[in-house]
Amino acid sequence: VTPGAAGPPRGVAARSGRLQDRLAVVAYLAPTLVLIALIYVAPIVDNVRFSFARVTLLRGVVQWTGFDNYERLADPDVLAALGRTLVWVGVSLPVALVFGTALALLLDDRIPGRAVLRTLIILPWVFPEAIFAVMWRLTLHPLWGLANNLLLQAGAIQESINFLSVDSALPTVIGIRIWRSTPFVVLSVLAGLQSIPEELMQASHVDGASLWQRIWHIKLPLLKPVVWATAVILSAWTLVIFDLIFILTEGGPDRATELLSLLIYKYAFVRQDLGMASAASMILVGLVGILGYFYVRAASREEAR
Amino acid sequence: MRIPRQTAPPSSRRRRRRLAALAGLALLVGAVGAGLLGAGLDADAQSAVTLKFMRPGRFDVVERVFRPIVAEFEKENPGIKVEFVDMGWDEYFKRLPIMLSSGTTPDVMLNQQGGIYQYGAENQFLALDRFIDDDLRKQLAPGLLEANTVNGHVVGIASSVGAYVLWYRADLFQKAGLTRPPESWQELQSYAETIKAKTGVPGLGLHAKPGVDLADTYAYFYHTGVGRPLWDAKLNHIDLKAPGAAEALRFMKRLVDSPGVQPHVDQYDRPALRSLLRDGKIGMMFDGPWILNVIKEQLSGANPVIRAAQVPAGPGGRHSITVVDAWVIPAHTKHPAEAWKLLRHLVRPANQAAHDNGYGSIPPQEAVARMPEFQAPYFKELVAALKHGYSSRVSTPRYGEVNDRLPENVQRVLIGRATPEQALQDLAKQMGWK
Repeated sequence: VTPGAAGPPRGVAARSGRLQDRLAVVAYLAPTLVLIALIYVAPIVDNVRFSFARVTLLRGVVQWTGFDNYERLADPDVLAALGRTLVWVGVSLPVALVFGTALALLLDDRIPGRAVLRTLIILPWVFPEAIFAVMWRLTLHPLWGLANNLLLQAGAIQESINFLSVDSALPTVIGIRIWRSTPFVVLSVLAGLQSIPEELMQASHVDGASLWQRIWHIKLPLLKPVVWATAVILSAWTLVIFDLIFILTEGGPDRATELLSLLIYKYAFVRQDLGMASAASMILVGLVGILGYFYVRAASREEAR
Repeated sequence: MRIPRQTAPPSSRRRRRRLAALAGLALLVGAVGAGLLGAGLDADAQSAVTLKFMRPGRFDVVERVFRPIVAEFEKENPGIKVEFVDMGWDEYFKRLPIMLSSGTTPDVMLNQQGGIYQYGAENQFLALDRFIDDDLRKQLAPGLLEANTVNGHVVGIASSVGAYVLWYRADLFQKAGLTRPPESWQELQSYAETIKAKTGVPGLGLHAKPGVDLADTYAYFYHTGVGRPLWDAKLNHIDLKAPGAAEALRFMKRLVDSPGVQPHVDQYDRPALRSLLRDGKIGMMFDGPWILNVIKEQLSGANPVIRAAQVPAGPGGRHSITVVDAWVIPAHTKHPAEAWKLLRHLVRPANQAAHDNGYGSIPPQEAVARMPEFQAPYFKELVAALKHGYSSRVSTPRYGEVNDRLPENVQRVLIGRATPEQALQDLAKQMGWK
């Protein structure tokens, strides 16, 4: 625009330009937003709707029942499953974090065989969950499982052990979950370690800081945002895990490993009580939502830095 | 800088116009041609009906058994094409309600007996009464049409029938000095312990992984303990207060605790026991003809290693369990007449024989049962078991829930987490049965 030429005042033109830019942004994003709405939002809306009704797979919504399904969440089965789920996340997550971070710190140093070790540690993460679960199921079987046969042959035990008995099933599956999730922590923390400025580490060397001091006072504080984000993502994943437990134990024996995700599956597909399944799902939605909030907040803080 | 628009010479403009006109004409001709061609193809498609067919199970076996049968059908009915749907039983159980509700079920499929009532009561299957001819009525063994009747309508044609017998290893029996199969519960336990003591091999294989298989095995002990079928049609639930109901569980627990049964029963399901029996790692197990594909070699010859016997009797008499899977046509099919044609073809005696042979099921048709290939001693035991057997499947729309909660409670008893009385009370409470 030529200065002094006739036309709208400068502020108005700028505002109009900004409005046009915004409209263009909305237009570009619209298809994606519609897709997201269809894929993510619609099922959540349906889930909320179903949680207030008696719903079967065959007949859909049979009757609106108000808060009945939510009242039924006080059922001992649901509370027990929720308790188990919290133990499942509460134990597996911190152990995987500590173990994974320690391994990552170890693998960050130039130790012999580092490449091989990194590959081996990442292996459990590479297998699809279902194959991984089948592999463990076969390994732990009391008769033909590798674990028992090795122990028997080594003379460590006289009779085979039932690793998935009513008393040992939950600790066993938690152990397997730790083994499965540790590589993710290792990968995330290793990525975080790469971002620590080399000069900082060199300066600490010059200042005579010991290995422990470097880890405790430099690396760990700088890794805090990465570890926090990893913890939030991992806990959300762990909360909703279904296939590992379903294939390994189907929630048994005597519900010893029946997590909330398995109970939801049972309500929906075995007992054909979709309303109750939806109400129970809302607990998971809530928990994952809270974790999501913390994750976004942490990410925003990190960005602000 | 703006590039001045070059003006094309008139001849060039004319050429371009002509080209554009030609292109337009070509498009028009193409569109009309494609439309006509499409209409022709549609007409062809309309004249040929495509049916979807599903026999749950291993697809290699499905293809081996049914490809020739279906090829013959297509030859006889040139206007009908049949597409196979590949689905294992596990997937079938999970997906069936979704397929039914979304109208995507195959036009003809084998349905597991419990599903007949569960989905039949919801009018999900076509009533077949108007199609069934007298020949078919005469072919089927008595009671099999009734077994597939829901709300007064026949909704399935029996095609895969099973019953529990006791499968045992003759070699282990011989080593243990046992000369005949056990006749009673008490003998069953003492035989199991004797085999273990004399051979070192657990005499009896029991399974306690929850699922329909465990419900079947409890049904056998219930039938022989109570002397009545598991499902009480008058009460419209399982009579858990019948004295034999708890006794059946108590006896199962006694077996599990005895040295004659393999340890860690909660880690075994019925298929796992089959391989143990085949490999001589257990002496006896309860199963239907579904085991046959696993132990085929051990059943062959004049002196087979594995043999079948009637299930031992309990305080309520000797009563096996029976399971009848049937061909059904989902109510939403667009081609009911053609689907029936296919179904009728599948149950012709020769085709039924191929089905029974392929899967080792008991022939539901008397003419088929008389064929030479079904005269092996174990087949005779299986057919005899049908005569004293009761259905193990519960006739309720809550079939899925019963088969979830019943085995769970049976397992609780077998792994020592509940007494038989507690488990039955809990089951009644969970199901809302009085």
